[in-house]
Amino acid sequence: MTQQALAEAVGVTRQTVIAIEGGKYSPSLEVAFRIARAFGVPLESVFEYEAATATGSLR
Amino acid sequence: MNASFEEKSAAGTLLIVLIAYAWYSYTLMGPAPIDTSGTVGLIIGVIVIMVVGEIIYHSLLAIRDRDTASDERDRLIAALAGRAESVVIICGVVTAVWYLLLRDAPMPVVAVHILMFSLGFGEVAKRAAQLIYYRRGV
Repeated sequence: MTQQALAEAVGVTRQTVIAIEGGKYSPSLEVAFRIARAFGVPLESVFEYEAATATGSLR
Repeated sequence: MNASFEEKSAAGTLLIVLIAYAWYSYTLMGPAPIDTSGTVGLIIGVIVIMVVGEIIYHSLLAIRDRDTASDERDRLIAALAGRAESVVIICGVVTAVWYLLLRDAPMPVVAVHILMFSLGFGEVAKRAAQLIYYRRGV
């Protein structure tokens, strides 16, 4: 799946998908669940919590 | 540059405000400074430069980019950057009030210029903060 396709499926801009992938933006719970749903997997399969930086990032 | 519409919008607005206030500063303090009676024209001039600049820039940007959608990241960054703008404007208002009250306002028009500069610097602070947040992350 391309970044553009994921962005359209989730309802955010492609730049936001890029920022999430790069760990520069922690999405809201709603967007996080939408991303997981777009991939058809549970939330914890897509995101991991890094306690040191307190940010969520796409795996 | 891989920038969203909102990021390009912030960059363009920053440039337009800087140009408008450069003209404002030069007209106010340049080799042929204006007097008090020219203040209204000066303020109208800076507003016209910004409005016309924004219309032209955003029209061209919308034609070029087409996708002008914003999302939660754009809204969060705008809200965070708005704090910087608020701080600058509040400082300007306090300075203008201090000038009017404590110095017995020898030239009340100076307070108007302080407020105008605080609005300009506030906009610059907001747009600069937006660009920093977009590049650094939030």
